[in-house]
Amino acid sequence: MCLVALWLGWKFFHFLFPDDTTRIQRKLTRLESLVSYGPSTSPLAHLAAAGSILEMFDAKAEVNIRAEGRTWNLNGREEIKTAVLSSRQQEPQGLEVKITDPIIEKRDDGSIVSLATVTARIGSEREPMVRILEFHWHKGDRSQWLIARIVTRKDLEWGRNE
Amino acid sequence: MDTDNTNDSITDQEPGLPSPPSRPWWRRSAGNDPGRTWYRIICLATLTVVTFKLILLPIRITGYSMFPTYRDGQINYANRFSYVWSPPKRGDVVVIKTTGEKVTVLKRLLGLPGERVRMRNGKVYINGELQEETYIQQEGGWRSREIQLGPDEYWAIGDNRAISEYGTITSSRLVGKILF
Repeated sequence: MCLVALWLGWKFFHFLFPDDTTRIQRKLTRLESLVSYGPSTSPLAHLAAAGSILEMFDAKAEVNIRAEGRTWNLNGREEIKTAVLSSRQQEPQGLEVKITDPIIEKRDDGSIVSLATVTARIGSEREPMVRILEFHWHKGDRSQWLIARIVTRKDLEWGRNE
Repeated sequence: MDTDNTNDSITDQEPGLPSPPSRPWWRRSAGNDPGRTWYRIICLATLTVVTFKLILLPIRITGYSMFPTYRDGQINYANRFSYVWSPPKRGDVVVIKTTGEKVTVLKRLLGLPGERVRMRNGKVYINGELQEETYIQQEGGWRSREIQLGPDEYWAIGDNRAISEYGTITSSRLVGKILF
């Protein structure tokens, strides 16, 4: 009985004060839900989602993503916001994003690198895009983890030299 | 002609006899020999867990990168033990893990360790020799420079050359060979 109480207490403590790995996992889950949207999302909801996405990025964040023959090289929050809103306008049929199997590696107290498989499906298309993305996180002023950089690793070729 | 068949009924009870006591549901569901039933359930559960966690990885194919060999929505299994005793062979359709096994990629292995691989107009050349591939419908227009594979590297591509990605993978990322 005592052991169960201790275990529950330990779980509750970690729920309230998660370690950095858990924080990053939660952030990735939040990012997944913010980036996904349905076909009937209102323009106001798009704007709100874009605002929430931006809060997860550092002011000087960089995004270098290759997908569907296109490359996005974005620098800073403003460029990211413009890209998020314009892509939502171009693809009104909705986007479903899943971030799975994150590998989180703490480099030092102020930086973390996480790799994750990102699957994106536009509307009801059957051909999903699968990419391995590398997220670079750094601790902001209020001890919050912010995305400093996102780069693509080719799904078939990552990890060759690791 | 009317026949009286009420005496044929086997459920008839003699009046005055007490009905047998009803057993609780957990007793009734376990049959006449609950010990044996539980033993069977545990054996079946263990066998299922061992099969689907350690030996076979169930996969659902999404998309058309292996079309026409495999179609969207098909269910299949990756045999994790396929490369324990023998190395992968050319032409094997393999399941490749990404950063984990929740999302995997299905491709065909064409380049083996130590070989030179090149693509020209969608056709694959291994060590300068054109590969006969009867399973592809569209060759696509891929071109790539010749690459030399390392001692633990394989080169993989999907059968639907028009849309499939290709590249080099290490053996640590091979989950197993597709079952059928």
